Amino acid sequence: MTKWAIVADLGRCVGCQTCTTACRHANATPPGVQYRKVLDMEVGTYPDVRRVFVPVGCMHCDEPPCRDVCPTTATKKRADGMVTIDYDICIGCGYCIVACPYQARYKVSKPTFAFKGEATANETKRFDERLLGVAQKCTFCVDRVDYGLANNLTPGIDPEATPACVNACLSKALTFGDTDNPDSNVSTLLRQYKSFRMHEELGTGPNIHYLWESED
Amino acid sequence: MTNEPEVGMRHLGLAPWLQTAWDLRAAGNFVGGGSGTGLLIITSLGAFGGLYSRGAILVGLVLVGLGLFSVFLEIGRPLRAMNVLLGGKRSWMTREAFVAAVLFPLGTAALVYPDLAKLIWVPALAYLYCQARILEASKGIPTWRSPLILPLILTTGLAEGAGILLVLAPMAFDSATPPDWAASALIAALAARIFVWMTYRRRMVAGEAPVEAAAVLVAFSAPFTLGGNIIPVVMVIGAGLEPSIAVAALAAAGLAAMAGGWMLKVTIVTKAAQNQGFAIKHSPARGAGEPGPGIKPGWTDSSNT
Amino acid sequence: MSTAPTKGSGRVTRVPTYCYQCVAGPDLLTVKVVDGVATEVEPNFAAAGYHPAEGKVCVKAFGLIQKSYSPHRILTPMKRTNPKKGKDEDPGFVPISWDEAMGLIADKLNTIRAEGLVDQAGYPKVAASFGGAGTPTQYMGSLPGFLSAWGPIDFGFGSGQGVKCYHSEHLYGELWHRGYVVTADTPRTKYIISCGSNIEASGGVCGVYRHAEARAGGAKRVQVEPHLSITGACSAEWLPIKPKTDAAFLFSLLNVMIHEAKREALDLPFLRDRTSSPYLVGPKGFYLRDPETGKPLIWDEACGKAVPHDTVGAIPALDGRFSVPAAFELGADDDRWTHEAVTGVTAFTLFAEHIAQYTPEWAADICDIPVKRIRQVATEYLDHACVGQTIEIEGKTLPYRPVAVTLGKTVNNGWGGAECCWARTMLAVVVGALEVPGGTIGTTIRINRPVSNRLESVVAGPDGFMEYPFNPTDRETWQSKPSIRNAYRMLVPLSANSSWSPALGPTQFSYLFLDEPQEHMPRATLPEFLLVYRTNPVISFWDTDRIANALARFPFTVCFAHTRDETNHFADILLPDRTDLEGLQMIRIGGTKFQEQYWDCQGFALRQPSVPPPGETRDFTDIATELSKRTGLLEKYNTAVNRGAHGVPLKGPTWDFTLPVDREHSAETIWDASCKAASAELTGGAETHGLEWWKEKGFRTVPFSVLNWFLTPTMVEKGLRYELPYQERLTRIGMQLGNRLHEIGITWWDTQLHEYHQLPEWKDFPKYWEDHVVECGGKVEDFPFWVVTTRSMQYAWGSNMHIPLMREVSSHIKGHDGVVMNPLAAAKLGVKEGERIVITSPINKSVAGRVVLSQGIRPDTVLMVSQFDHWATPVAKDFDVPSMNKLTAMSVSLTDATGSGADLSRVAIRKAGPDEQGRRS
Ligand code: SF4
Ligand code: SF4
Ligand code: SF4
Repeated sequence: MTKWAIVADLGRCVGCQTCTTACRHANATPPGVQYRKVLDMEVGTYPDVRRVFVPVGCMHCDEPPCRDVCPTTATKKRADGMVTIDYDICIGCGYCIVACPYQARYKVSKPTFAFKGEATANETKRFDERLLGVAQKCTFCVDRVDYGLANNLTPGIDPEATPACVNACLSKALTFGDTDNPDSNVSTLLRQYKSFRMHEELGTGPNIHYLWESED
Repeated sequence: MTNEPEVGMRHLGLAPWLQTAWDLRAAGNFVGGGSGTGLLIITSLGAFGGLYSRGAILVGLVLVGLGLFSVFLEIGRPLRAMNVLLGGKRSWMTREAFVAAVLFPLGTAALVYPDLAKLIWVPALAYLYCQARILEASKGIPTWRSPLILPLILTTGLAEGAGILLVLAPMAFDSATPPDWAASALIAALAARIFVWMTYRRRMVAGEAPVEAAAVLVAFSAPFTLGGNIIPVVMVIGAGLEPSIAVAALAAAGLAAMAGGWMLKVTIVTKAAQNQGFAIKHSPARGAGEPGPGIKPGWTDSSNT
Repeated sequence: MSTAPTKGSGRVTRVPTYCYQCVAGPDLLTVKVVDGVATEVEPNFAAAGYHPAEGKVCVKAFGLIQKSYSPHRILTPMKRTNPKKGKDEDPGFVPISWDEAMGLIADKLNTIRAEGLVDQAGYPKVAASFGGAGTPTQYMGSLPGFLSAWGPIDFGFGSGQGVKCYHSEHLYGELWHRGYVVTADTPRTKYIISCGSNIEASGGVCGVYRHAEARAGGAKRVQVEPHLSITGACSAEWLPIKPKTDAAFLFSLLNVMIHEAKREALDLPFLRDRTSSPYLVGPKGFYLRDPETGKPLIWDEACGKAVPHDTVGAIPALDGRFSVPAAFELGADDDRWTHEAVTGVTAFTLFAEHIAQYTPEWAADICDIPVKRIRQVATEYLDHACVGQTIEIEGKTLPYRPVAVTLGKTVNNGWGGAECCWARTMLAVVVGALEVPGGTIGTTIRINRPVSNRLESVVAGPDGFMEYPFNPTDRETWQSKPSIRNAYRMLVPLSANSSWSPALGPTQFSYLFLDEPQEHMPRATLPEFLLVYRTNPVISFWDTDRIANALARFPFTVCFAHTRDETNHFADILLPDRTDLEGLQMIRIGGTKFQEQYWDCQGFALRQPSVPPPGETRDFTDIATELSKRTGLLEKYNTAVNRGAHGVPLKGPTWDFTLPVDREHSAETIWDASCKAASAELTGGAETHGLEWWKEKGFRTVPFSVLNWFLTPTMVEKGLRYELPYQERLTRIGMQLGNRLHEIGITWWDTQLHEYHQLPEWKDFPKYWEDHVVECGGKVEDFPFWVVTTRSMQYAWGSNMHIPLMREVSSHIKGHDGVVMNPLAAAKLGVKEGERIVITSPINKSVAGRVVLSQGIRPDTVLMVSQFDHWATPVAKDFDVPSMNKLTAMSVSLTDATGSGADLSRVAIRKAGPDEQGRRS
């Protein structure tokens, strides 16, 4: 079996948001819709303070509450773990948005553009009416992964088959791969480092793993 | 729009913030559906005691219908609304729609065939249960996903239903006074509701909800307890002690109980509806440095260790 | 099933190009173009094996698409119709034709040419202001050809230079180890003391990448800085130091190493053979020199007597006092003292005695860092230094010293900057970690020659040290009248006289002296013609109101304009150029470049149009050509291009692609020839690929040995010593400069002369800013806070505040929407998160903004990220975020001897009143 996941090395991430912008480009999302973004968290009290940059987005949960609540089956989970949305079925009820404990989902009802009133050439070119009024979120760049698989490429290794945020990451904080394959890049990292997952206690089985210390 | 906090001061979007996906329109579904089915359940059960009120059934159905219409206004793609029926395998929203498909024909039929009134409670209760489960399945909103949301939605639905029955009594029943058990039903439902509420509130404040959501619940608690529960009970008792004001007092009691329930749902759905926020279990080691504690901003136990 | 948003279908191409928006570039990218529309920026994956960060580009590069398609762009030449200039005057720009615009410009220039290129005061009539650190050159095509054809131009109108840069590091770094910018050898280092260096935000892609790799490899970095910056966040530890006390901290580290650690922990052979440590110093403080050769003496332990420093077979004594039978000392000008039986002290002993006073206990109070932490850092540094160890690189064995000290802006410029630079370099020196693998190394040179090769610039100078092209201070050749308004050659010997030097002087003086003429110096005049490109000094410099006020008086200003902004608000002519994704240019890549661009290859990259150029924009090269033609400089310009003024010499040993000089050539022709010449240069003439080939490939390199990253092997090879710890030469130069200035009556530079010192000492540096409060007529206690700033990865150098995507994503990072403040400070002021405060500086300038609470900042310091406060730039003018640039004073007293100021100020803070809630206060 295959289970796609992202490993985010918190020791590496610098909060530059290059991944955020790369995703905005790759998925042509409207202003403010960030399938990937990186939080700036502060821990502790002066002078004993730490600052941590935390990439977040859809966790492509093992037991996705968003899928469970979806009344239309627009949200599905594929055999390889990807949680997908069919924009042609989704009615935009917003139920999945409140069901997701990771605030990963967006719904935009009206066309919005970077420079307010008017769409730029690239916004016009890539405007996708199907996304209005329906739920959207990180796709794990499913189109790239599927393209790669169809062309004998390895997602997470070959850039054409790898999510845009992972490709763009300056610090190599983000790694994409198959956690079911013990020899994969992500499995290796998960063996070499201690990791946690966000809100794991909620039973969602999230698939972004955060590395925080190397295994000694 | 998006479910982001306002642009500007965005770095604050770490702690749970108020969800904006469901607003008053969605709350309307829980208000209408809860009150409507509550009324239908009470009325239907009353049928076993000989009660038959077309008015009550009609009002119940209309309330449920208005609720559905209200939520219809919220969806992004109303033309595809019928797709709501596709998710029966998992979604309580689909199941609610299925039940509605039974409830409305049955309720309508009961307007013509009084005997059918005795059956209405089944789909009505199922509908109410679906609503409770809809909230409970919203894992992203800590105040909704609490298991206590189930009894809370059920008891408040019944309390609202009983309350509305008392309000309708002067118009809907020949006697102008509701059956004796109606007031008792209201008291019972209120007692159950307040008990569940207190437990729910306590658990939310004790750390099951984000600080901000708990604060909303705390602020809501006194007016709700008093206005929505204690005052109606006092009025019911007053009505028993002073028959001259009974009709008015019972109607007022019913109204207060109903209004309390409505406010409860509006509060939970649109005000105490902070999402989960973000948290980390550990701060990372940076290079050869030491790792540190995690953090869960916006929660009582914000250290998340 | 539709799972992914549409990607825009159509004919897809991927155009390779480069990003050099910031000083940390160039980085390589591709632009995905769908049916002629740029849709996505991506890393150039083909560069993975070449570029130091796998061909990635940073967040700023992703803003380029919006930059191209911004509806706010200036798309035709414009001329000002309102003759009155002022912040509140509407310039009344109206579109004009290129012909008219070029006509107006050429008329001005031709009049100047006819009447003389310099004015009566001797200042060039034409001035140019280009943005930070040479980045504009990467976009201005062949304009350098025109500039060089023109003649004298005042390049000294700064836009941030000196205050927003690593000024002292630039000058002293080049002097000591050819390190215009100094970094760790990050891939190999294991321990970094980073004083205010914000490498994760300002080191670009390569900085981020290399340091992430270092962390993964177990390196430890200690960040010493008043606030917890991005780099602090990514460091193992944070030491919140009091602003401007870094020199004390670094001195105390040296103290622990010299006086507490075992001597053997230091790299004694390095000190002995590679530095001036064993040189004997006489009673006057200058080297004792051999009466016959004039060479500095050392004490030879082998034969037990003083011998010239370069005596073969001598074993220099590092430590001690020795009696020398005969020697002389050489002071400033004619000072010369002959000694007999004189005691000579080794420079190292003087250094050790000097540093003895700077104990951790002494520093702890000054810096507000616990004694224990100071000792711990010093000890860890020594423990990691691996003294005695070696490493093999490309088959060569080199010393391995994986410890480094890096400095950031405000630490390495302004008062105290010189002392920090010296202490940092000494920290490397004492363990032999200077310019060796793992240690503290320089990236590149800008003052010495040849720019293309640091190692070749290592030429023997006097006394066994490297040569350095100081501006002369002797009576005969000192320049007593400034050549440009900022007087760099007159006042700053270290700034030398390379093409970068005008911008390495006190660039603020170009503005300051307009209104505050200094005694005994020709009064600064307004340049008759100012050319501005890719810079916005009215926002990015200090005391920005003053800059605006000055620009309003400039008679004729031409700005290349992407959108309207605060500087071109004062322009007479706006010219639209083809920007990042539209223009054509070839640049050099690879080798070593700042900030952390260390490549193992070098070559060229092409910037080419990814999308059709909009409106009437013109390629910069075509603009330069036409300008040359209209000013009668075509021949000179073409000659300059043939020579390679634009980056690529068109003629080499076995190739010649030079263009006929008597006629105009299109941009394509010029760059096609350049591509061919570049191909030939890389292949020794074997290949001559033209523009089409380069358009497809994007870049091409040849190997560049990693050994080139380190200077020390060359020093060894040439038998040279680093001029450390003792600053004999500089002291002499400082004295001579003082003599020269006093001879013509100038005393206003006297404080600066104190910086020239044999062994730099701690002065109460924060007090310089406190004294300035008093100088301005204020009371220090009324200005209890420090305000500092920090770079933003999303904005630094990018001129991209008008790009909404940058605003959107930067908002995730704390401080991009207000003033960062410790909750303790906020409580004292009675303000809460999001409330507005008014910040006032001693020069009585105020800004207002929202409070952003953070535990990651000292309670006596507030932070204003980046440089906002726009009032004309579209998009940015609606941000409502303050900038400290308006607050920072421009004054001679806050200018150090190198001509730089530091980016901080004392400020008063109060809660904003109800009437101050608006955009500007
Ligand atoms: S993170 Fe949210 S949207 Fe993504 S699968 Fe999990 S519940 Fe669904
Ligand atoms: S690109 Fe990489 S380093 Fe930058 S914020 Fe994203 S995950 Fe972090
Ligand atoms: S802005 Fe600087 S660091 Fe970023 S991609 Fe461009 S040149 Fe590189």
